[in-house]
Parts: sequence; structure tokens; C-alpha cells
Amino acid sequence: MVPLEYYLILSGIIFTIGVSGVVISRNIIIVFMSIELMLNAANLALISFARQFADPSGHVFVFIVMAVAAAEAAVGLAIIIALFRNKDSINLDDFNVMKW
Amino acid sequence: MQESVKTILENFSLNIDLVTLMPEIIICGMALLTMILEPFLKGDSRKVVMHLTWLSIVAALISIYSIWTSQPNLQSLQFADAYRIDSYSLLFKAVFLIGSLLTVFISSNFLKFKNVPDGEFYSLILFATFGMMNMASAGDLIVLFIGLEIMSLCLYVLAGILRRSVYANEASLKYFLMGAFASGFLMFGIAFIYGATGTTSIVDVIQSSEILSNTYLIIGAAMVMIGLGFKVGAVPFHMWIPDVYTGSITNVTAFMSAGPKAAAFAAFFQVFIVALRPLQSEIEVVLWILSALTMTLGNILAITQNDVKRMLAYSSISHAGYVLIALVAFTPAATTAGLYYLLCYTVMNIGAFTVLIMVEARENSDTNFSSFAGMGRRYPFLGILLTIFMISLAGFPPTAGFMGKFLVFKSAIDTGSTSLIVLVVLAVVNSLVSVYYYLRVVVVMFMVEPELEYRPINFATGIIAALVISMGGTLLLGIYPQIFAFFLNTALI
Repeated sequence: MVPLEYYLILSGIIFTIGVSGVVISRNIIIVFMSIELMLNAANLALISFARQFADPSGHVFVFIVMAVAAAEAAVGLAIIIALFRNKDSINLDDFNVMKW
Repeated sequence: MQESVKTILENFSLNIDLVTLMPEIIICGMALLTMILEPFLKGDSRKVVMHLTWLSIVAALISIYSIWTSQPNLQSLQFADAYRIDSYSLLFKAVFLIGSLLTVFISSNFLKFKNVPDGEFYSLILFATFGMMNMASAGDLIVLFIGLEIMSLCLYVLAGILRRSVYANEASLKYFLMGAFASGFLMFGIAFIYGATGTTSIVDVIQSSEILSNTYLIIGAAMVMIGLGFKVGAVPFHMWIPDVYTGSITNVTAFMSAGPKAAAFAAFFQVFIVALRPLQSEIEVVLWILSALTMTLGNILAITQNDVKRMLAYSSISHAGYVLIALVAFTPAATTAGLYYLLCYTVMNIGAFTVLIMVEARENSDTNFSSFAGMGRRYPFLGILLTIFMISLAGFPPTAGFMGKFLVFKSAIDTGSTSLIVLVVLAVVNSLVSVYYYLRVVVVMFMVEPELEYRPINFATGIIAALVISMGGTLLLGIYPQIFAFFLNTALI
């Protein structure tokens, strides 16, 4: 069996990729995808811990997180479409009427 | 694996008590009802939605009061221990409901002024309130996460409800990106807390005798701290607050600065004081730094603002810093004081926002300091009300702001630790600094002549109701804290 640590390291790597994507990228869609990546890293960690404990509740949480991520995606894309209609751009640098 | 599923199903008891769940049922039911009802209403009959909303909030408040009086020492775990209802969470819910009630009162007229479709607005407010109530009652980290998401998703939409405005778009986008980013951290942290203790139940996490790995627990605690830090707007996770608060429509800003902030603190209290007590000494150090940074930076940046709305946004950051003192103190009395402070802050802050909305809801008006010029002369009574709100925000007696600060600082000093006394001294210095920018509004209002003739203010019924409630609350909480004695006998843990 692959040891637990390997999964956690992978989950940590995915999470870090997600965080750096949010910080570095200027494209809203990519930022948004990176956020999904962060949630999926959390899912991977949950699953590996649940497997380790042989505890089914961890698996259930993953489904809940996936549902939340889907709801977040719906609202997020709606916001992005509303923005695009007003400004014709999905570059974060164009959204600076207020100073960050 | 098969076996454990079976044992879980056998030991599964939902243990639902509908009476104590009444506030949630009322709010969630009415949120669904308003959403269904709204498309069928045309013209003036749309007012029905607004009236139903505030009536349901009042009904929920009444049901909280009756649960409170009939079962004084309530401690019930429901939905297989995932939902905890006790007197502490009931009081938190009352704070959220008061915030939402005041928001509904100030919204009706202002939405019409700004041409915002009002049907979904009320439904979103109610859903957000429902999410906050879940957060305060969460007995499980997953319930806390879901509650937080219900609240946040509604707020992302509310922030951008002024769809044609670039400012609202930007506020909504920034709030969404930062909020979802924070949720990622929070969920990752919850996964690691689960990994360290084998459970996500808030009560079981402390009792978990076999902590598998302290490293996982510390990683989890740090990630949860970052996630919730974003939600309460603690420095250095505060950068979204000024923009989101400025860009959103003003009544939504009032709502966001009261209820959701209190809800994020409810989550903070649940996670760090109940669940992660084994890490108390490490958490205290981190929270001390967060608290000191938050109140100082919030204050310094507030001084330089020329827009009252943005100034109130920075002031909300520094107030979060004061509440964090209660978390550093880590005692039952401090949790009570923190809750009392949040109630005071809700009342006085929405009061200040109410006056801001009255000033903004005129032709060619904005939220700059200059819009207040001459208001005190033209409307002396309104001027005095705003002065009292500002004095209360600055923390002078005999107002709510003073009493809240007094209780938090007292609970911190009672612990007797030197580091906390240093923190309290810092907080007092900060309160003195904050007097400058709060009273600047008063000075402009009474002493500066307006450039043109002062345009009249529209006094709508809802706004007057909100002013009466928030002013009554500000004075009562400050002058007669005795009548809130029941508050001071309730503590988390």
C-alpha cells in the first residue's frame, strides 16, 4: 500500500499550485480554476485520512465539499459573466476602479 | 469498512427537537417562500416580500426569546451531534437577526432609489442569515463550513447586486475571489484537523485522546486560522474589506459589516476556544499578533480616508481587532464579552450606516465627507443621532461602544497576564486615535458650510424604524447593561 504521507505530499503540492495560481495569474478564469484546485487538494487529504482511519465519514465529507465547490462555481461564473458584460475583459488588472 | 458503516448506521440518532430549531425553520422557510412568491408579484404588491421578511425575522427573534425563557440551561446536540443549540449560540443568532432586521428596514427605500430589483434581495438576506445561524450552532466542522458557504455565496451576489455598476462588479469579484480562496484554506485546514484527530466534531476534537500527529493538528489550525482570518478581516488578511465595502451598495455594506462579521467570530470562538484547546498556548501568541496588527493598521488607514463609507470599512477592521482580544484572553468571561461587543457593534454600526444611507439617497449625492457638510444645521436631530453613533464607535460612555470595550478589556485584564495587559493598553491608545476620524464626520456636519444649498433628506418609515431601534440599542446597551445581565451569565464552554 502506498503510505499515507505520499498522498499528503501530493495534496500539499496541489494546494501549493492552487495558491500560487491565485496569487500569480491575472486571468480570472485561471484564478478560479486554481481555487477549485485548492478545494480538490483538501478532498484528496480528506480521502487519504479517511482511508487511513477506515472511517466512512471522511468520504462523505468529500461529497459535501464537491457540492459546495459546484455551488461556488455557479455563483462565480455568474459573477464573471456579469463583469464581462460590463467591461469586455476577464483580466484582473482591468478591475481597478478602486485601489486594491 | 463495511462493518463500520453498519455500526454508524446503528448508532445513528438524529435526535431532532423542532422547537429549538424554530428560528432556523422560520428563516429558511421564509427565504424559500419569498423566492417563490417574488416572480408572481407586480408593482406595489412587491412590498409584501419586504413585509414578510421583517415579520419572519421578528418571529424568529420571538421564538429565540421563548426558547431562552422556557429552557434556561439548554444544551442540546441534534442531527447526530452535528448541530449544537445552547444559550450561547442562541444569543449569537439573536445578534445576526437584529443585524438582518435593521438591514431590511434600511433597504426598502434605498433599493428603490438605486433601481435594484428587490425580490431576490430579501431572499438572499434571509439565506445569508440562515447560513450564519448554522455557523453559530455548528457542532461539527463540516456544518460550520457549509454554513459559512451558504452565507458567503449569498454575500457574493449581494455585493454585486447593483449589476450595472462597475464598482459593484468589482466588489463582487474581489469578494468572491478572496472568499473562495479563504474557503480553500479553511477546508484544507479542516481536512488536516480530521487527519490529526480522526473526527470533525467540534466537541470530540478536544476529547480525542489519541492525537495522531501534532504536526497535522498545527497545520490544520494554521490553515483554519488563515481561512477564518480572511472572513473576519484580520490584518494581514484584510485587503479585500475596504474595496468590497466601498463598492457594494451601502445597505449591503451595513449588512456585511454586522452579521457576517459576527458569524465569522462565532466560528472563531467555536474552533479555537472549544475545538483546538490543546493548542491554546500557540494559538494565543498568533492571535495576540493578529489582534495588535488588526486594530493598529485599521485605525491608521482609517485616518487617511476621504470617504465615510471607506472610513467605516477600515473602522470595521479595527473593531475586529478589539474583538480578537477576547479570543486571546481565552476565558469564559471573555467569550461573553466578545459576544456583547459584537451586539453593540452591530447596533451602532448599522445606526451609523443608516444615517449614511439617508445622506446618500439624495440627488447627486455620494458618501464623501463633503456630503455631510451642513447636515447638522439643517437637521439638528439627525446630526445629534449621528454624533451619538460616532461617539459610540469611538468608545465613549454612556454608549454601547464603551460598555462593549469595557467588558472585553476587563475580561482580558482579569486573566492577569502581562502580554494581555500590553494588548489592552494598545487597544486603549487605538481607541483614542480613532476619535479623530469618527469626530471628523461630526465636525464636518456641524461646522462646515455646504457648497450649495443643502438638499433635503427623505425620511422613510423603514429608515425611521431602523434609527429608533439602533439608537435605543446603543443607549440601552451602554446605560443599562444590567437588563442584559442574562447575557453576562452565558458563556461558551
